[in-house]
Amino acid sequence: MIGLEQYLIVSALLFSLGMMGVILRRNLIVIYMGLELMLNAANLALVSFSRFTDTIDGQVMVFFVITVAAAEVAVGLALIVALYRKRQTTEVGDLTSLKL
Amino acid sequence: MNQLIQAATHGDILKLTAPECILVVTALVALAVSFAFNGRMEALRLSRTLSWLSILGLGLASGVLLFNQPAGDVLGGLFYTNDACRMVKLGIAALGAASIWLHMGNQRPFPHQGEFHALLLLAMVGMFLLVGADHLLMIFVALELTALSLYILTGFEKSKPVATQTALKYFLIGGVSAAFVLYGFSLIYGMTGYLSLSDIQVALTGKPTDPLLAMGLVMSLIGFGFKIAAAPFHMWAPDVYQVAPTPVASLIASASKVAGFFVLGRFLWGGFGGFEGSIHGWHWSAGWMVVLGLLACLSMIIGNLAALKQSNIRRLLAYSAVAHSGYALLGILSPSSSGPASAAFYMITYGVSIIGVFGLLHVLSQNGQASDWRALEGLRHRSPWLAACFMLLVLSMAGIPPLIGFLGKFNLFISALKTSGNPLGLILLVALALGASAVSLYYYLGMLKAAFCKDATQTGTIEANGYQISLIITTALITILLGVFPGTLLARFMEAFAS
Repeated sequence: MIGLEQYLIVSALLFSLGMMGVILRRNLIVIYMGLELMLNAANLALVSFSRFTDTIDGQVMVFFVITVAAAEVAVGLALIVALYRKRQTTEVGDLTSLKL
Repeated sequence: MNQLIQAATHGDILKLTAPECILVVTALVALAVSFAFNGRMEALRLSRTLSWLSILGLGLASGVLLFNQPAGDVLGGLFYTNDACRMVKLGIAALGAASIWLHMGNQRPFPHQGEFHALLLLAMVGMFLLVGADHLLMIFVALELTALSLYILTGFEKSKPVATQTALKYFLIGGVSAAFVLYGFSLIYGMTGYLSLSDIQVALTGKPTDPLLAMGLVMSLIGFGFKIAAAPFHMWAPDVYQVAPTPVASLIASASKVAGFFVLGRFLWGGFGGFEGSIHGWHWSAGWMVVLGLLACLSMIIGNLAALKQSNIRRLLAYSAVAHSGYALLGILSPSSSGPASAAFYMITYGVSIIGVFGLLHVLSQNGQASDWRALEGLRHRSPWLAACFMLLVLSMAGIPPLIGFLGKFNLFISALKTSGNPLGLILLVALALGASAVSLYYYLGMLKAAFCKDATQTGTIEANGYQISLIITTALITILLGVFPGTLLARFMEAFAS
């Protein structure tokens, strides 16, 4: 029997994988994929909570989150394309002109 | 004016969200105007027209807020308005209008002015919604609306070599923090079964702290920490302050932070009022106060120490803004209603002075000087009036009486100290804040020393147009006039938050 715990474990795993992708990978597009993975991990948690607490709010929220994530894709990819046009690269290692 | 509406019809919803609706319509009109007149009108004139239009929209929205706004909520707390919200929204509208005014001083506007103004207005709508949000869904959507607009605005001057890169950095850090907020919200929802803050508060009363709930709370705090640029989530701030177009940087530094602080206070006290834990004596008990205290402490120390070694004034302002966030967190930490009130008052008045300083830096960079220390040298000889205003603004940020910065800080510290039972943790934090302010005097006075005691490396008077001069003089006058006569405004703030 698959219960709430299993869903939560999967979503926590997805979130950690996404976080690792953001921290470890060096390509902007892959970093961005990691970011999306983190958002979707949260979506999975919301939907499973919604299912197991018998409330609808979580599912409604997921719709909004998916929409917001789509807007984020638009902005993020636009920035990556603008950067690529300027620097011909999507590797973060090449972007060193900002010091801390 | 004070009737309470439980919105049921579309008319009621429209009545409650009138200021936001006005701003959205203004943004669309700005887009339409730029579409219709692009190429047919001189770029500078088009840009000024759009700015006037945006200011008009903000003025209308403020008028509605001032004179004709009922209190109430929509759909069980999805959105609410009351006196405190109105005061803070008025502050945000004023700061936004000042940022747009600053933009009007631009003699050579960059391309795509219509989009620029529309995005500025949409970011303001996001902040307004953030202030009126009483629901996790609404908080998330409003946070993202503000943030997404600001990411684009940060990279708007594509001709600048590092603009896109900075925007991308801001975007990635912001995206991660948004994911943290969302995951935190999902855990909170799972543990309580509600998304509305007041329902969460009710559901949680008398329950022990669940570890998953605590995790959710901490994860959401990470996201809010990003929004208000509290250390250690401030990494984006120096770059954004340095590279973003000046009006955008001043909007991020002022209005966006005000909204962030307001919603943070609402989120913590309105949703987790029973979970603050305590920082009484040496026996701290777990709760969000400990986390927030830690954030405040780190922000004050890291912000001030990192500001000491900056050579670029804008980066210096960014780090000092981190420290200011640390001071304002003290207000959120104090349980009485005067705490959040003084935090909001502090952030708004701080916003006024930082917009003035940004205005001056903009004038200097227009006169061909990079924004490092040398730009300020000999300011006294080159333009005595601007130098005098600069002194008032900087001293206000440093917290010297009788300017408004001193009063804001004084209020914050008093409201933290007046907490019943005198929790040792808060007293220590106030002591740290006093020490940190003393450290901050070093770099603030350093700026003044450069402006007043050094000889100019460049000669010739400083060219500034009427928009810029009026902005700088007005902000400087506000810092001194509000500092000397704070009475009514401060009292109204306290009153609005108390109800």
